[in-house]
Amino acid sequence: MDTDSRVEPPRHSRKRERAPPAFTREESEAFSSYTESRVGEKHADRMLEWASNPKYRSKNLRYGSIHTLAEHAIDEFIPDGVMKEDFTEALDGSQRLIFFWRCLYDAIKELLRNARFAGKQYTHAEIKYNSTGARAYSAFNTGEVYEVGQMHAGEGVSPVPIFLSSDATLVSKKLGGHPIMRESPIPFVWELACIGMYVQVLVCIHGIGRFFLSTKMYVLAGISTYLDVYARIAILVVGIALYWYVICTYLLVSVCIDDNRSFFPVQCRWDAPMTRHVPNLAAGWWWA
Amino acid sequence: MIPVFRDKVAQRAGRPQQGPDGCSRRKIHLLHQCYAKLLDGWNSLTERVKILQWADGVWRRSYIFLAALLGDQPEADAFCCDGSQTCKICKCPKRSLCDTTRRYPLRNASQEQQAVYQVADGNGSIASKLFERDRRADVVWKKQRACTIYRYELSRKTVGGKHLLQNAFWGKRHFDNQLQVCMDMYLYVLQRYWSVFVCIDA
Repeated sequence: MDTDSRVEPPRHSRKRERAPPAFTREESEAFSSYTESRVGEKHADRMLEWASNPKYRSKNLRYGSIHTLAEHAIDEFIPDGVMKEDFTEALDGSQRLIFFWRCLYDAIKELLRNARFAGKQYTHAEIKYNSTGARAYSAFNTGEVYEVGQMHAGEGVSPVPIFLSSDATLVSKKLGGHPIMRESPIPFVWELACIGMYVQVLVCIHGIGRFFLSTKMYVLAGISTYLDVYARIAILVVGIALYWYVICTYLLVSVCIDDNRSFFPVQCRWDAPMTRHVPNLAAGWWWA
Repeated sequence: MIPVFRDKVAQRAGRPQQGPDGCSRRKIHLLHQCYAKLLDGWNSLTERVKILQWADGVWRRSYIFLAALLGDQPEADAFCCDGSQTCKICKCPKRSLCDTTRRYPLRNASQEQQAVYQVADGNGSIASKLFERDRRADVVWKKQRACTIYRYELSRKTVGGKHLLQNAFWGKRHFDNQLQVCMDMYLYVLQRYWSVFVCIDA
C-alpha cells in the first residue's frame, strides 16, 4: 500500500490566496454611497471630509477626493481593454429590444396621492377675468387646456392632466408646450346641432352684423374651420328647406291635380302605399 | 430622447446616417415604440372617471387626460415624426412661418396618419408595403431594390418631411390637434351662453 499518497483537503476549507484588499471598508462604504446616490462630486468630497474626522477611523480613509477614489476603483475592478472592446453586432433584422416599463396608471396614482403635494394641487378649473373683462391666466387651472379638461370631466370631477416630456431640463415655465388634445367622440349630427345653436345664440345676443363681423371664430378655429363650419350649416339649412319644399310640392300636386302623370313618372293617389311614391319623390328631388 | 441609442455606436455597427435604416429614423422609431408601450391601454384607462386618492387624503372623482408635451423643437419633431422647423399645429409651409397675417388649415391626427400610410404603401404601386415593418413589429425587414435611401427621402418629401412610421399617439384618446380644441371651446361657450339665457329667462 502506498502510504505516501496525499489527499487534498476539501476545497472549501482551503485557504484561498487572496491579494490584500485594494480598499478599506470605510473607503468602500464611501464609494458605494457616492455611486448609489445622486450627489455630485462636490457633495461626495464633503462626505469624504466628514468621514475623515479624526474621531472616527480617519487613517482608514486614504483619499481626500472622490474623483481620485473613483479613478482608482475603475482601474482596480474594470478589466483592461474593456472600454475599447466592440460589443456591437451586425444588423441582420433579427435584433429585438426589451423595454422595461412601469404601469402608467400606477405611476399616476402614486404621484397623485404623494403627501408632498398636499395643498399644492389644483382640483378644478377656475375662469378668471380682470377688471376690463378680459380672460386672465394667472395659474395653470385658469388656462384653456384645464378648462377643456374640466368640461369633459364634468361637474364635481377633478381633472388630472398628464404632461409628457422628453427631457427633464425642459420642464420650466419659459418653454412652450405642445398641446395634445382629444379626438372628438361627438356625433356629427350633434356637432351640427351644437354649432347651429351656438350661432343662433350669438346672433340673438350680438345681432347678425356684429356676429359675422366678429373675429371670434377666426381666432379660435382658423379660416378653414370657419368656412367648413359655415358650409355644413348652409348645407343643413338648405337641405332641410329643400326637403320640405319637395314634399309639400308633391303633396300639393298629387292632391290638387287629378292627373299628375305629366309631372311624375307614376300616377298614384296621395294615400297610396309609400313604395308607390318613391319614384315620384326621386323625380321631385332631381327636379329640385 | 432615448439614451440607449448612440449614433457613433450604431454607425460602427453598420447603420447608415440617413434613410429608412438611418440613425435618426431608428431613434424616432425607438421613441415611439417606448411610448406605444407606455400608452398601451390608455383609451380604456381614460374612458371613465376614476376615484383616486389625492395628496390631501381625499378620494376624488378624477378624470385623467393628456394635457401637453413639454419639449423644444427636436423633441417636438420626434414626437410628431416630423421634419425640422415645421409648424406642429397647422399646415403652414416653412417659407411662410414668418408671415403671421395668413392662416392655414389645422393639422389633424387621422389625416396625418392616412397620408403617411398612403405614402408608405407606395400609393398602390410596385413598391407597395415597402415600409410595412414600420407599422407592424412582427414584420421582418427585407431589403428591396425599390426601397432605397433616395426613394425613402423622396417619399418623405411628399408628406412634408414626416418619417414614415407608426406614431404611438395616433388613435390614442386626447391626442389630436387644435381643431378638436376649437370644437370643445364652441361647446363650452355655448354652454355658458345657454346658462346665461336660462338665468335671464328665470
